[in-house]
Amino acid sequence: MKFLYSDGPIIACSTCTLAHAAMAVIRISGFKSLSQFAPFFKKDLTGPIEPRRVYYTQLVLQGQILDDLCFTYFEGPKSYNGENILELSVHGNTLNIERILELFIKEGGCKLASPGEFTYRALKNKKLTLSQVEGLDLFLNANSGYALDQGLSLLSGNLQEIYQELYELFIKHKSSLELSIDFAEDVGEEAAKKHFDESLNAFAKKFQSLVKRVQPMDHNLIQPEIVLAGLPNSGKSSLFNFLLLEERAIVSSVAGTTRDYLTETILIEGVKYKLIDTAGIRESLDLIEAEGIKRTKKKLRESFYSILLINPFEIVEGFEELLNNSFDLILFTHKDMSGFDDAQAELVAKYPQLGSIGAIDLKSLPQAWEKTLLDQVNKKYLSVIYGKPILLDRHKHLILQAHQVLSSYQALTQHESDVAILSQELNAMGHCISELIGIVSPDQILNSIFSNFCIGK
Amino acid sequence: MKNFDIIVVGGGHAGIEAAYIASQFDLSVAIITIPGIGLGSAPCNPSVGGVGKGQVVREIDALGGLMGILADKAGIQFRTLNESKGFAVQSSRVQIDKEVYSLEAEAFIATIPNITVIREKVTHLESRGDSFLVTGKNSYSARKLIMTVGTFLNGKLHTGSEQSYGGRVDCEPSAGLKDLFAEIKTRPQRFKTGTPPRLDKATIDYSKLEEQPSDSTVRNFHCLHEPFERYVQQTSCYLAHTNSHTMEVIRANKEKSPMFNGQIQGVGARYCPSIEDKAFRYPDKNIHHVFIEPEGLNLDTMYPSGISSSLPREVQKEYVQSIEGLEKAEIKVYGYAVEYDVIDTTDLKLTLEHTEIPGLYFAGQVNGTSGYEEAAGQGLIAGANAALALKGLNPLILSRHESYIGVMIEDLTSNTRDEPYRLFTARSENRLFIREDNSLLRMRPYRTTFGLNRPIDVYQREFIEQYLDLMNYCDETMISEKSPLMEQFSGAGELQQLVRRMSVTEVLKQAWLNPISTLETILSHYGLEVSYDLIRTVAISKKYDGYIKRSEDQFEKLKKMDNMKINWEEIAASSNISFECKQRIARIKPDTFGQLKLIEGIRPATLAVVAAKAL
Repeated sequence: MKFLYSDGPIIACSTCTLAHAAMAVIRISGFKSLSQFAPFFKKDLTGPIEPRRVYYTQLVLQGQILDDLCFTYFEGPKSYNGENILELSVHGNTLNIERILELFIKEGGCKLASPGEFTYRALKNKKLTLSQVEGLDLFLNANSGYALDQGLSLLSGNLQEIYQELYELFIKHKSSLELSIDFAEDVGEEAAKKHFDESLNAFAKKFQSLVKRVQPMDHNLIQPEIVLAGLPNSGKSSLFNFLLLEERAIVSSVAGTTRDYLTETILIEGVKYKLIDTAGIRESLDLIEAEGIKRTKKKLRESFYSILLINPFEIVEGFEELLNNSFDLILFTHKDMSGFDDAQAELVAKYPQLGSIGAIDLKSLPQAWEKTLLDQVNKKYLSVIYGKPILLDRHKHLILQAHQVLSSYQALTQHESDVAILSQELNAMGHCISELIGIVSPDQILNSIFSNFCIGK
Repeated sequence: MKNFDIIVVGGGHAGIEAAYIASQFDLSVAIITIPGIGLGSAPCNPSVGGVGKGQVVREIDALGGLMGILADKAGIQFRTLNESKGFAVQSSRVQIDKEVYSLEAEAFIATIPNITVIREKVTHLESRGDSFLVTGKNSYSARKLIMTVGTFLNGKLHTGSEQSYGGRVDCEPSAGLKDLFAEIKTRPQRFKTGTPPRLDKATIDYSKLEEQPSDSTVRNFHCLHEPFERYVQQTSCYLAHTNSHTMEVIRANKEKSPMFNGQIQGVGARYCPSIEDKAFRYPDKNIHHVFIEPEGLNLDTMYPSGISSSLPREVQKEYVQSIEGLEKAEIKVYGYAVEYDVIDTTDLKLTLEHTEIPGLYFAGQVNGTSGYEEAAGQGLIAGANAALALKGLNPLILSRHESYIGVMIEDLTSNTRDEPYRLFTARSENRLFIREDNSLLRMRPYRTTFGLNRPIDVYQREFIEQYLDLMNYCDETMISEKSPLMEQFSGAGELQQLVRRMSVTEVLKQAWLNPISTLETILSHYGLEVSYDLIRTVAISKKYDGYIKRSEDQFEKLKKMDNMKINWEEIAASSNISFECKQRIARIKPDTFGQLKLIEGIRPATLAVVAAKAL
């Protein structure tokens, strides 16, 4: 992906434009002087305009009033991104918004902003650090209170401070290594060794506390998923519908993008989850299609919470393989069918590893049972965020990479006496930590961060 | 008036190196030097080589220089530093007999018919279009001029409150560069270096010191010398230590120290600290190493390395005598500090030619470096380039990826230094490759461009041919798992058992084996006779092969980032950078991210901001 950002003034609507609303905020950034927009406003913009004060006026085009609005002028560098910014609070009809954008683009020399371009300029003008930009991204896209909090913490630079402390400790250790090469005679071998050990311990200790916050998990905590899996007729769809029917806080209903599964969003204790019905298992088993099984397994692996449903009357080939995935919950369905107890006993005898398993009758499940299930999901969520996990993929990836390097480096220090080789191994860790604090090359930043942003941020 | 192709002003380590390499191109060369000082004299420590510097001496030698030859001839104690730390950072160091070294230099230069040595103090220098006029007692002209004037530019000596003018003790002063050469700018900030008091050999109690004898397994520097032959009698160095009393004496006399009472304004190197520096910078540390090194077999002085000082005489005596073993030591020559003018090396090209005055070259301590080896390396580059330019050949520019000399020249010309520059291995990004053992391989391609055919060239061509043969031999020769060799090479644990057929190359890469003795064993097992130098180079090259490839990949990635252009003015004007840091940025004016990163005191936060800014 190639980002082509320009220097001139940019414009975008910073509020939701999907539907009509009472109000919308349009932002213009990077213009030289307010007076260049004077023709569009009833108020005289060439006169004194006090920054950070709200003015009420009308937007006009060739004498015709387009909208009643309020505007605020933020004079650079004391603005969000360091540039001159004009914020228009306009009426939120989507047609109105489009008409105003068009006016400034066609007649006012503005360009429609690219995704993340406002924030990109903030980064460029040193108003935000890379971590803060990432924090902002997290904050604006958060699906839980925890993600909101971590986004804010990144924005305020807390995590950045920890990274910097880590970097300083790394540099200390690195210099102890260089000291033992270039100045061993001046310092003496013993003192050099002491420096080396102490600085490595200090670094490793600090680093371990950070690693604890990066659980080696495949699931995405920013958008956690609850996955229902099982064979055909195991009752997945019934459970799916049951949870959705009882769940009043359905936000949206989007059909699975890949024919393989259905997705709904449910809200549990303030956290938005994706509820996924993996129809894929049925199809893939029926068609004995290896690719489908693989996809379902991946979905299960990445899930935050996985539920396996078993119909004890229909156990077919391939069932064993399904059991190899560790599920958070296993449910027996079809309790209402006659002969259920016999079938269940037979199954438990065959698969003792299933342990204690519940049985449900999806047709007449009590209300309270739903709460029990959702409580279980929430309990897991709370236990996961207790360790203050780091949410950003880029950070997680770098920390885990550095962790790997550190482990092999520590092992190497035990038997490798070639200091130049040690130093080289250490360089790899230096790269990870530099990237954590934002010393990265431009293309990496652009690709990993701004691709997530939407227009108007 | 006598005309020369090249005139070298200064007969120190840079000067003789410049003259010798230039003379190999059949040009007429003159060295003009202050009367009373022998060529190649060593005013400070009596040693050549050391960590990083040993590599430089071998690079000089492989390029056809002089320093290795002289160091071998005058070597009275040989050592390998960092011996236990891996081949890449191992370096040879030779204690030299200063008297012999200078006599050898005089004798060597005297045998070269196209070098004329003129012993006069230069009083005036002038650029006349395509030639230079050099005036001392007489006048001379040259097409190229090489300045290797060391610490003599406006030199000022300090011992306590005593001050005198000159480049070193008991030498005539010489004028400042500004007076000599109105067109050249010197840096407003002068540099400072220092030297310790010299002790009377006979007054030291050696029984209380730790003896360090000469190591007969250290290879000579010069590639045509027999590897382990010694030319003069070998002797020992001794290790002493400072103690709390020593440091108390120094701390109690702070206001008498020219370095701390404002008398000296020049900047010294932090990594070559005087004993005063150590006392005040590390208030908790009282035990420092002091190496007692002989200055010559027939000289009656010892050089105590590690306690250089400009304190008053009586204080020097008191702290010296506080050291165990030196209780009765008498001082023959007192320590002093010298301040001198240096030029701004960012005005020089990678050939060490001045950007504004073509044909004028600078090398050595006048460029703000410290150390004989650094000076000699620059002398060779300046001398070779002056000669190559006269011959119409391509200039000699060593890559920083292939040599420490290249690292040094690039560091000097790309960045204004704010303290004396010394080489360390840490300055190189490619330390695993820039080793002593492969210096000939690294330098041969450069030497080839000279188009010369001297004995060293014949030797090097043969060596490279044999090297390639032996490298191939290692790849192609397979050793069966049943061979008795494999049992011999197997290590202690289960993981160190060699149980399958392997090439010699693979065997040499096993971590627990010393590649040199392993290859020696293999070759003698198969009845092959190969020279020590060749075995060493091949064995170590094989050992590092994989690591070097990885390091190159890393380097490529870094280079991308480091080459990124930055606007230093904007950074220096920004509000979230410390004042001190801004000053450094403004002084050094870095153009690229890589240069910025090298500036002392740049905080990671600043780098992160700049990295984002450069988007």
